[in-house]
Amino acid sequence: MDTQLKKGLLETCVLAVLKKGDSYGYQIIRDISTCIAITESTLYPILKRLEGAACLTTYAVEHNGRLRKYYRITDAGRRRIRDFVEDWNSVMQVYKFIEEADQYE
Amino acid sequence: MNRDEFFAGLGKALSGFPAEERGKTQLFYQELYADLIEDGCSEEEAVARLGDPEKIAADLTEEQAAASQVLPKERGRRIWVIVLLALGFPLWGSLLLTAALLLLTVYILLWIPALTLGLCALIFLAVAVAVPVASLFLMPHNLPYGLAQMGAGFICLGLAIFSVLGLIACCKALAKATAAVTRWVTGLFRKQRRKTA
Repeated sequence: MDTQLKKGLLETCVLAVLKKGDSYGYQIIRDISTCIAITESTLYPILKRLEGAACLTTYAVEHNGRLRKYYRITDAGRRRIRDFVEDWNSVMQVYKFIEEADQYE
Repeated sequence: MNRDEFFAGLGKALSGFPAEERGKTQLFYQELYADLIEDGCSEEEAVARLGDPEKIAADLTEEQAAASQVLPKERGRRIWVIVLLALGFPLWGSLLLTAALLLLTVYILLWIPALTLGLCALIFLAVAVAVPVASLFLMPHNLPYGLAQMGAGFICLGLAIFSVLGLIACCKALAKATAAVTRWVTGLFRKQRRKTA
């Protein structure tokens, strides 16, 4: 998949995972991997960007004697998901436009 | 690369970053490494999946650069807003001050019933204490009047209790009103900040 397109999608995917429930880094990667390929190295900048945009907050939970950072979605994050879903029609229009060009010989 | 090499490399690649940023990044990858090991990866595998320290630092630098860019159009508009605010200060400043003073006056006026009730409560209480005591002196001379006086004293006690109850109700209502108005005022400022953000 195109890297730029993927970047945008991954952010919303992370939010989608968090909307179902608070989660931590490794678990988020495992949950998203069922839908789209994501590696450990790509997650951190995404989480940083989302935190900067106030789409999520963090808190720490103890696990096996170490502290694990959990992420929780905010209202801004939920709005982003809704906007993404609502924008889907415009995305489909662009897709049809491009698909037509692809089929045009 | 093994664990120590990775984290040494990461620390070095992040050396240009502020300490807080560097710390957060290292914590993230330490946590991720621990989870991978817990999941059954070998040290080599886990480190490989974490990625390359240099690339991690490069991605972060790119992120920072993108995030700190203020659109030139937005910057221009912001400067105009600041200039207009400064020039118009005598006008909107005095209007704001008047509004604030009006609000304060209304607020002080609202406290008057409470103050009155409080004073009433004190006076009634004082009378309710003094009059029965005085009536005790009267009773040997004139029993009916003495008893009446004592009764009046108790009536005052009742009035004092009512006043206190009224005072408490007033204070509760005022506290709620104050909280609501404060929330409204801060809400105004928060909405403004969000608009310019």
